[in-house]
Amino acid sequence: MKKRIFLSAVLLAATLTAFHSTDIFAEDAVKEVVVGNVSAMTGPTSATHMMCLSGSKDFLNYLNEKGGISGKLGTVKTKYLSYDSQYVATKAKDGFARLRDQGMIILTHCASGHSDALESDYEQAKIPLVTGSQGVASMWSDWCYGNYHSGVANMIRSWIVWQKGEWEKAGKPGGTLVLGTITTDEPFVPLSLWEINAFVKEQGVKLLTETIPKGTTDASPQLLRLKDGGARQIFVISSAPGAVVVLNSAKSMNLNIPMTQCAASTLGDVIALGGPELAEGYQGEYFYEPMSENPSLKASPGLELARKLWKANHGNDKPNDMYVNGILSGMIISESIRLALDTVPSDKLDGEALKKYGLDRISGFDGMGLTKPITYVTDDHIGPKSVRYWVVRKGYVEPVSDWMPTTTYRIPKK
Amino acid sequence: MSHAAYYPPSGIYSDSYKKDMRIIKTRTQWVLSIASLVFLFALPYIPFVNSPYLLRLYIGVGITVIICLGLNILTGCCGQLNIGQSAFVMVGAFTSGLLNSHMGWPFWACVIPAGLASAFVGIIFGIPSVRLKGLYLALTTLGAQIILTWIALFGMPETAAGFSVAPIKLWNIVFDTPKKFFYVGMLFTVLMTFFAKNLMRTRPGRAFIAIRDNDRAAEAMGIDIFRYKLLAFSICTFYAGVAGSLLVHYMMWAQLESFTLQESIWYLVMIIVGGLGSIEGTIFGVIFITCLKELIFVVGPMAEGHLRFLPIGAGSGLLLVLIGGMAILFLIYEPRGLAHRWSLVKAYYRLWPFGY
Repeated sequence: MKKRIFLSAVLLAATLTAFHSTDIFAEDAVKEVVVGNVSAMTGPTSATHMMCLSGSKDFLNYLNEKGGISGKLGTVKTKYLSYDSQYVATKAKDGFARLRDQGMIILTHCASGHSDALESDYEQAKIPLVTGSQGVASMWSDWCYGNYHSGVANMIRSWIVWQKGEWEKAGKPGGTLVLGTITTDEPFVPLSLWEINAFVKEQGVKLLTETIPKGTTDASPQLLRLKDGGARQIFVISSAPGAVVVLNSAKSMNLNIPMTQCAASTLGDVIALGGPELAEGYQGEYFYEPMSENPSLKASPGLELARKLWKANHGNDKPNDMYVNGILSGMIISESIRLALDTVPSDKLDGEALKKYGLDRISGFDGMGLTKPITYVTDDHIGPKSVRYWVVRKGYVEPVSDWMPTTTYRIPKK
Repeated sequence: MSHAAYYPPSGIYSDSYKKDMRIIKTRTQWVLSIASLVFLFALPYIPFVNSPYLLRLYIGVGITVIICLGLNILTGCCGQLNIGQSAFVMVGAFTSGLLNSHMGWPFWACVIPAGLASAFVGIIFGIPSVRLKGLYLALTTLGAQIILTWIALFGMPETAAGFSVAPIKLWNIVFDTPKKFFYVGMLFTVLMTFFAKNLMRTRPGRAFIAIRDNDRAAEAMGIDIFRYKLLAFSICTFYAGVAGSLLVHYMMWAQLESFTLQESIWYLVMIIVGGLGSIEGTIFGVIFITCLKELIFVVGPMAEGHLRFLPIGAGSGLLLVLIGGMAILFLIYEPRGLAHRWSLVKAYYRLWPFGY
């Protein structure tokens, strides 16, 4: 008899616990929506992709802790799920399928060529993508929304426009503006230089190009040729290790030509890898505020929040600029959910609703001052379309230009 | 049906050469083979194991099996080390993709040219195998990986940027979903596995094994080493090319980043873990490593989420550590791979209940 009572009590307790865990007794059940991330957590771009992932995840978790994202018709919390694509297109597609099985309604990533393979998947599934860097396919898709300026092909173009402006301000010394670029043989390099000759011709400048092989420890011959060719500034298209090789070679030959970093690494990466002394005077392009805690600069509320989240989640690890990129993706996702919840109740929120009533309505959104206003319109989902150049001074970065518009060239769809 | 059919014999005896040459020797094997094919055919419709994600995994396994079968014929059966297999997959992928996107050729017209283009490039890089062995030959195949990647990077802008490829079509059926593509993928996997299994029973197959075991002795027996080594290279890379063609039409996208040196290393690990020189081992190796990868994809981020002292990315990096360690352990403790374990299981089953 005692045994039967005991078993009945256990059963009752288990039933009550099960009911309780399903929120049946909760008065205001908050719906959970799944945000997916397919990124290369291993492979050559993992350092960058992991930072983007951490930023968006930490920001959305922070909102969850604050009670979720609320609109006029309800409140939702986000469940952040990620999948390692290993820098392989098939794995990226596997990951997408898995996240879709798990109920994903919006996808985010930091793009590279392998993740471009997802274009047909997210279009077919009607799941919008918010990306921290616009790959080629992303530029073609109506379902892709970039927090990024305008893609890697515009980095050198915007830099050329900047340099041309500075040269004209200086009274056009030398008669012709000669610029140089030094690249490594990494997969994104041809994209950076896509049809650049036509642009250079149109701008009336001369561009000298040099390549260093991956893994080399000396770029002196290439730098010497650029110097002999009369390059006034050099654009370095490389990840951080390649940039450090170029800077080391430039230092060893006392080369005083200013250099600017292209995609695949940030000034923060170069400072961390090569040290502040080597990086002194090195320039970089940003479409958001960098993480570097320069005591002489006032941070925007968005950047202060990013720094706070970094400290809370990553303790004493060295902060990375790409984290801000991820935070910005998280902000755009949350803003789109907030806007969509003004029209659609939380239980009806899906990919299509997020696109139509959320992302397509984003206008003048600057991520608490992290970037210049972002407005998405039909056929133009490019992010802020503004960049600012920064320079390394005594281990910190500081602006070396005002915010300026980027070029908006698009690699044509094949 | 005889009673003995339900109790397999403890040994298989052939009383004619024809019987001895059969791949499927017993009724049990026939039943299991047909049951496996029926199971494969029905798999996309079996509840709980037919989600799009799982179907994609099966397709991935199928395509990887084709790649690794080629590699195992060259490395496991003929003894020629190849650490550039991913580059040969790339040749087939881009040949097929470009023929499709630029000239409008359908997949069925692209797949053989893709295999042949890859085989042609494979033969070129296989020529040094006449004089080189072991690590030296491995370095030439590494060279193939670097050179071919460089050509794809700077030689053709669209291969670096990526381009769309049309899905496979057969009359009115478009194989653009995992459920539909599964059948194409499995058809090629089964056919090419069958071809590989048969190949090892032919004159070239035996010549490959003779070259692997002792190339000087093989030459003394009259085997044309140059010819057979190149044949092994061409078969290996033909397999890679066909798999590459399947891959881009499955993904509907072709881009350079999918064909890295790391992928080539994975393929080697798969055949080592599965069993060098074994067709069954290749399949086991691919399935085993794929399952392990998927397990780590689940466990890695969870570990990272709970163990806060781990740096960002440590959970995912666990994959590389585990699989690298796995390859070392297999080389030390089970150099004949999972195929050997499978043969032990089969022997136990055949001898049961008198196994010792």
